[in-house]
Amino acid sequence: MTSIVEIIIGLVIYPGLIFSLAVGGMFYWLYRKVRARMQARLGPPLYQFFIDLVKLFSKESIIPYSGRGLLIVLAPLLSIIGLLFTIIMLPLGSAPLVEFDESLIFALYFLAFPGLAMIMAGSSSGSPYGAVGSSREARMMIAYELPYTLSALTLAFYLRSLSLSAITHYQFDHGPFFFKYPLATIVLILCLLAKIGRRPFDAPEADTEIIGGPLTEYSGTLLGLFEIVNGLKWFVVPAFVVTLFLGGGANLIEFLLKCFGLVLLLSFIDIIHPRFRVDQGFGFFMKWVLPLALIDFVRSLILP
Amino acid sequence: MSAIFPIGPFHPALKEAARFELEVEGEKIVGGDFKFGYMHRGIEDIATTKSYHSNIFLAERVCGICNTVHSTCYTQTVEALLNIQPPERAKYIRTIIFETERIQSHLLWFGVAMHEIGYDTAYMYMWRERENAVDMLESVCGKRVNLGINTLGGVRRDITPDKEVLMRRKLDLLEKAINKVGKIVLEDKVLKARVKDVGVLTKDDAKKLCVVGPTARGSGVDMDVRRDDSYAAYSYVDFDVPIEENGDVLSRTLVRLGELFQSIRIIRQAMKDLPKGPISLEELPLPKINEAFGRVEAHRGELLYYIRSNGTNRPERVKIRTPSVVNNNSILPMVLGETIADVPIIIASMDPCFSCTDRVTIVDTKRNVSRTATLSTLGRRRGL
Repeated sequence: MTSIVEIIIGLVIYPGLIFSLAVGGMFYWLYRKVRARMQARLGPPLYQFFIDLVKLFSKESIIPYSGRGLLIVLAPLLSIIGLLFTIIMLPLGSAPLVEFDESLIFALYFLAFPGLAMIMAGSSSGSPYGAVGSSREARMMIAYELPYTLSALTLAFYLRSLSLSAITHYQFDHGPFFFKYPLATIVLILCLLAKIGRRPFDAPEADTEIIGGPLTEYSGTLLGLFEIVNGLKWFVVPAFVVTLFLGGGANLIEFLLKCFGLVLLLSFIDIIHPRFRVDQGFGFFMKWVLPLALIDFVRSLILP
Repeated sequence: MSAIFPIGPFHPALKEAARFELEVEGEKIVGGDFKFGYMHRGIEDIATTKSYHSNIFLAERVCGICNTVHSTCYTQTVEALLNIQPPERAKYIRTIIFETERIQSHLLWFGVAMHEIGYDTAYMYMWRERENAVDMLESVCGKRVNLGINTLGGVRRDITPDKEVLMRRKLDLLEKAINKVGKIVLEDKVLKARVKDVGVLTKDDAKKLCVVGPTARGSGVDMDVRRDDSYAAYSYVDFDVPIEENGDVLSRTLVRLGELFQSIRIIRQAMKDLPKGPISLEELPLPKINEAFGRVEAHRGELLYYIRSNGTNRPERVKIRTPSVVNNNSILPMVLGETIADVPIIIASMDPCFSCTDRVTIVDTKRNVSRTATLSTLGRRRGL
């Protein structure tokens, strides 16, 4: 068992806040750069994400009079906590910092935090855009969490284990689960798009309709915290998928390269699609994605 | 229970200031109130204080995107007032510039519409291709946005043979780009899901609200000033007027797509038949007491100018009826029953231009009368 001090160091430095933010910031930059180049633009410099953070943290946060102050402050913190607790449970090329038998269930729970925090942020901000944004986020979460959890549990049922390191070790010996359960992998990647709020499922934050939705009323440091969430999301959520289905990594470099590939794939999907309306996104997940997840889930139950 | 969802005065979906107060139940729209008037500039009043020649440049500044439309309509109305005809070559050059501007305006519209539904890649692509049209305008007029090509009794710059070569080359590039635009609009499934059967304006409603331009043609109303009351060189060229029957956002998009192809066709014909001769009249008569009325088919619909002269070098009254004035009334029937997510694309689908729309009318709800304010009253109110 790891000591408390080690866990705290893990949360703050490696593989926690500082490391994840550095890698996530790079992946976010990669997405923006690829997007810009494919749109015949120049794109931001490498350090753009970090100087954005510095700028936001140096500014004053305004909490709207009609908002509920405490929830507005708690929302981004809750997301950051959820993402950091997930990353210390993932085996990044070596044994995870915190290892126990039910880590998959915990990771699924913690990864739902950012979505919940968005709902909290939107509904407590007292702005109509925030209210619409959080209701959209809630609808999208209902739509994507079910196939997402089902496809993750496919592996648990196949291996009769809920441990993330057991899943990784099995893949070291028998090849990535992508080949065994391709449908579940596709489902997970589609849900990933909704989870990090990218097209075609970015209705909760649609800038031309509801001006960023839940984030409309955020400013200064608090918006900076949400920027950190955004950066972390770009690393932690793909890392979770790499761990589950793409074979993890024998070392850190291999792991990061796989994440890099996944981020490129996500960027391409984002670039070539317009935005779904929220009811269309909901329908897409329920009509197409959920059946795909069910097929592989049932396969794992009957064909062990 | 319904709540008020505000859009504007400043909102990323609006390129100009306007306020929409939408009554919503959940995300569904059940009512609404629209307020314009943030961009009032008093152009009609200023026009009566300037000479006929200076007013060309004022008319051009009514709207940035359709500036040649305004200056063409103004010069044609003044030419009717003075009873003069510009030379044939000038008419052809006006037609070419007019249609090139329509191409750049429609491509700009396509980009904005794509941006409203989150398709930023197509937006960037279309605005890049639009540069070709702007380059064509620049090569002839020397400017990119406010072109300043029209003058009373003709045009100010000629299309020389070397410019013609450049324009033909750019036209080929544009045709290729427009084909690709059509492919994106017709084949992308996500895009189609967003625009099909959204914001329907029925033919009856369209006629009742007197909408004009692509908004009317998308609802099956067959009207086009270029064909019905031809001006410049439109009677010498051969073109079709695209009509769609469904009245949704997709039909308005397809009408604009069809118009892009027709514009290229018109420019090609006009460049082939370009007659030789002078480009403007040497001398202009003095205006007598008279009145004249002119109309053109702007990119957004029918544009009207009415000018009355009193024998001096300044017009007594200039009345401008821009297409957005009538089209804006159709927003409410289009958005009722749709969701908030569709409002930006529905508003964009009729290509509104608020700054050329705003008028000052004071409505006294107690006595139920309305009157139009003059500049002097407004000045008094502001304490000027």
